[in-house]
Amino acid sequence: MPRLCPRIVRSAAREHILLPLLLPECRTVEQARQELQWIQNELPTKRSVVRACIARSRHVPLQYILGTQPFGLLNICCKPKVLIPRWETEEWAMDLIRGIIRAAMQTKKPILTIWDLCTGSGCIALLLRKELSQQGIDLEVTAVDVSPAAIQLTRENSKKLKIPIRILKSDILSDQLHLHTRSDQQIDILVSNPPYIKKSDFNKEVAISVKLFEPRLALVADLDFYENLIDQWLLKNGNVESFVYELGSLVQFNYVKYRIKSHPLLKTYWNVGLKFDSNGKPRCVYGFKTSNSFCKEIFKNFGSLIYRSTISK
Amino acid sequence: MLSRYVQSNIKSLPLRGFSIGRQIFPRGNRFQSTIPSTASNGHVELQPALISKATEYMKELAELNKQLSQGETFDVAQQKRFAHLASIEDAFQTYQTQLSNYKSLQELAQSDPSLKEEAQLELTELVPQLSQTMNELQSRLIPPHPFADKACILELRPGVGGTEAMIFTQDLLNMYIGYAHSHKWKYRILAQDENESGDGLVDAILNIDEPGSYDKLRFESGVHRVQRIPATETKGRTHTSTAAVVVLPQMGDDSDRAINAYERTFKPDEIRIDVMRARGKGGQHVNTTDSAVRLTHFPTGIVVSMQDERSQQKNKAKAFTILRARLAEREQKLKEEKERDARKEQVTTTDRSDKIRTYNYPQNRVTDHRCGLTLYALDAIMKGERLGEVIDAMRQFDDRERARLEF
Repeated sequence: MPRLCPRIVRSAAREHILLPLLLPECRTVEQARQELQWIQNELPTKRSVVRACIARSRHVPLQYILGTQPFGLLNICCKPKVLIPRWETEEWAMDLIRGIIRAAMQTKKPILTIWDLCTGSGCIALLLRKELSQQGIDLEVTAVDVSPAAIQLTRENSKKLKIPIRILKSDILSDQLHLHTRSDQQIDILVSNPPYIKKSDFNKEVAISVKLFEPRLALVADLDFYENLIDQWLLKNGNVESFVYELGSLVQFNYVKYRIKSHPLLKTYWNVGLKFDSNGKPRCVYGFKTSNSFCKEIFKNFGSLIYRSTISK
Repeated sequence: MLSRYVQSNIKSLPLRGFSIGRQIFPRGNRFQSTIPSTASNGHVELQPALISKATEYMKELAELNKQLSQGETFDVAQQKRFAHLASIEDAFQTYQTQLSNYKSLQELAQSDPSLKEEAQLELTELVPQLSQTMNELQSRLIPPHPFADKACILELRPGVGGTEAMIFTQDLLNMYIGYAHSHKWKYRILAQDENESGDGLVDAILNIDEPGSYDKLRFESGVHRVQRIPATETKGRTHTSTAAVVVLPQMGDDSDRAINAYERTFKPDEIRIDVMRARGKGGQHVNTTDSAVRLTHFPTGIVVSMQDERSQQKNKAKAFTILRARLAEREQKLKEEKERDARKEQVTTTDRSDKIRTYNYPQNRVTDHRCGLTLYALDAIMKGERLGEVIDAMRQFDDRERARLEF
């Protein structure tokens, strides 16, 4: 991170005494001005504004200071020990919703089952439930997390936003949760924003504010969750019809693609695609069964299909 | 108004034309060159293509009749179609009986000399009726102008002739006001700029709010020529001056809304959505609060940036709203430009040579140069009372022209 130019800091100070405090995180005066505006809008007293700016200069995430982060049309509560929803996640979640609405308009589905693993604040699960039921789509959403703080916060958000979802505390890597679901229970869409930062990348690639204040549990893992997706959910459970997993690099995408492509059974009926975010970075790996035309319709314009199942060839 | 002008001797009125009904066709005089030689009742038969179209309509009507008799219910569009076709059928049947009468009378006059005089007498009675039926049928068969049901705006401007042209512009404005009065149409004078001496108009805009008035008045577009001894003339010479009239349809709010109401949906390759961040891997690696969104609309090059909200989605929605507004504004501007071009097309010059009609005061004569109609009732026309006759003649002429060109 380049050093801030002292001249910029001085000119910011002349404009508003608190602006230099925001510069280390915001980097530009323009963004600092914008952030100060938000802080002043949301906090009641001058004192709390000053305190917030000081905290900000110590790299405390703005969302923990203000207590919320907008996610779609929802205002999700944010607390320490739980990952703050990212705009990239918001973006693909909104795209997914659009796809589901389009698919539901073409074919009526009795009830849509969605599971959200590593839900954190519950943002994806809550947004899906809210937006889709507003469109008159019947759905059942289950949110799963291992962290007690995350489960607590998801409950809080669900209650505050009045969006009913099922919340499960479980460690999907060791609990074999997939075997506890009823065998006839189909999971239409399995979504997840699992930790995906490689341990070796953590020190150099991750922003200081994230490093210092957000939970490592929600950030650091290698391929564990993608391995879990293939082995447990696609192979052992087998009732998953489609999935969307957020990712941080192409390595994770290639892993999922390779596992499906090289498996004698999976390769016959799974399609795998990659979605980029609007910043041009690879963001999601998604897949769906060829036989499921509903899911096929959902992902029609979602990303680019990289691997086609052997049946569809 | 006429008192302003010295009326020339009424004896100079030329009696050089022949007349049928109230229409007078000049023959072999200096006016000839300016008048097309189309005689309105030279033919009593419709174009063959129009006849075949009418027969087609009759088949369709019979089909609809059959459906109706079988007890099928019609939707609104079908009901309208049925009414339209039925009205054509009525005119078509009258036309056919009158035409066969006409033919048999002609045959009779040729074959039987003893009955010739009687047949001729009946023919002179029948011919105007027949031509009227034909015109009616013709106008029903030809598709209406797309703006036929619109109200209209008249713009008047003096052309060649200085103050006299300005005075004539005032006279024309009074004529159209009189015409609107006689039809009990609502009108408003939107703008009226008098010249310095206060006896003429530099510019006038008349708004006629009657739906369908555009269809009536659209033939008024063009250069109107006046020939008279102006009040400003001291030596008693006759001057020729002009004024330009432009008729525009009033594109009312309702139709505009109908066009613009559709939610503008953008093709993916028309729009680029930029989020203003580039460094690093993104996602869980960073936690940015920068929620700015920039939209670029490629076809127009409009760029909208929005960053007020903490929510990127809200910023995006706001940016789209602004983009839509800008596009609508731009569209409006383009439309206005197009209208301006259309106006230029209607009147390229206010020259004497482009005239559509001449108002000759010394002869008490009004001649429309397009359809060749001449009326010796200048006063009544300038008051707007008999302007309708000129307009009707022009409408029939236009129907014939369109029938000729389109079928």
